[in-house]
Amino acid sequence: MRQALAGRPPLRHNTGDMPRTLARQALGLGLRARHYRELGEPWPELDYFEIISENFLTEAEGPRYHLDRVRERYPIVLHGVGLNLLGPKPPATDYLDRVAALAELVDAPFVTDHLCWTGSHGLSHHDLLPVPYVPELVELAAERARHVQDHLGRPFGLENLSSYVEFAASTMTEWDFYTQVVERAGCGFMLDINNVYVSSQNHRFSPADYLARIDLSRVLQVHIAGHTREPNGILIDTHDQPVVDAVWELYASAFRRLPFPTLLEWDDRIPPLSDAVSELRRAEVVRT
Amino acid sequence: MSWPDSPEWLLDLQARFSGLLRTPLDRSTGSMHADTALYDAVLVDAAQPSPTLSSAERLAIYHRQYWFRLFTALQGLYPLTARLLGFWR
Repeated sequence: MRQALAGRPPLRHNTGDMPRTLARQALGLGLRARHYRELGEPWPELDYFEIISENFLTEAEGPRYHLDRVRERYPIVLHGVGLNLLGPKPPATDYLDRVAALAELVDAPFVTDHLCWTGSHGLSHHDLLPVPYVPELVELAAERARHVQDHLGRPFGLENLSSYVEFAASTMTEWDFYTQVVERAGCGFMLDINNVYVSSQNHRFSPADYLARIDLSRVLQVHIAGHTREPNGILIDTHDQPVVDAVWELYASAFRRLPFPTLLEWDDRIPPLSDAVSELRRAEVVRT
Repeated sequence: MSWPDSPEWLLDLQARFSGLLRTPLDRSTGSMHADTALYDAVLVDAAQPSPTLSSAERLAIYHRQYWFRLFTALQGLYPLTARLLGFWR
């Protein structure tokens, strides 16, 4: 693989001063515990890593040890799963403080989480759950997202969901809802193109129409990932296999409109690190 | 904190959705499955069917995922306890 990368500009390793922004062509990988034992010389040819914020909101030595090794060599961005933006209650009083401190520690160019709810009545449901798409919730989500971004003191991005159900009460398309929330909040898109594709197949809309509505200049980062097609035809966002061609095609089309940092998520049946990096590198081929 | 309150209708929807997720899976047939007959009729009416799945079948995707995430976590963190509680696929 290193031979195949001959001629590529040098990547940022051990530079000391981490950039506060990522290059629009940057390629990153979601850091998972499965990778820890594989990290070391030679360090993977990546522009950055993304970490799950909640995995590092702890003083435990293990996660911090690995985080320190990585942040010495790569920029790190934060991706949360616990904000519960559209949940019944505000986040715990110190949650945003801890995320802000972690972002400060790694000098994260940005922080992202999801446009969804993840729990209610004191319970976490360990899932990213949808809401009806209505103007009333645009205002609600936008004001809350604005608050998060102000509290963090750095760019904040909202991710679109993969979803498996629609609500009769919706009066807007998902992409109108998503774009209006982001624009009114003054935050960024954490655009997951696999999620766009999964939802488009499950709800029978055009993923190209969805992406055409996105102002790519507001995209902080794009996620790509694999998914699973169930026997009944439903697509499930499993992050357990390579990215399918249809998602690569959507990705390439969007990237050619305006480049954005690209991150591969792989959360189950995680392959060796070198294989994940090879899958990520396909982005450079398909988008040229 | 500038965190506006959720409207009552959203709180009601989320309470019903939460209740559906936490409904135990049916084991009467020897394998675990989501018994959609137990679902909250108001929530089922609030969801839309697709050309291939009923509203309840769409909600069942979330219902199954909720439990199998918990089972997977239990099996990963406490494999012996998971075995003592019973084998599952």
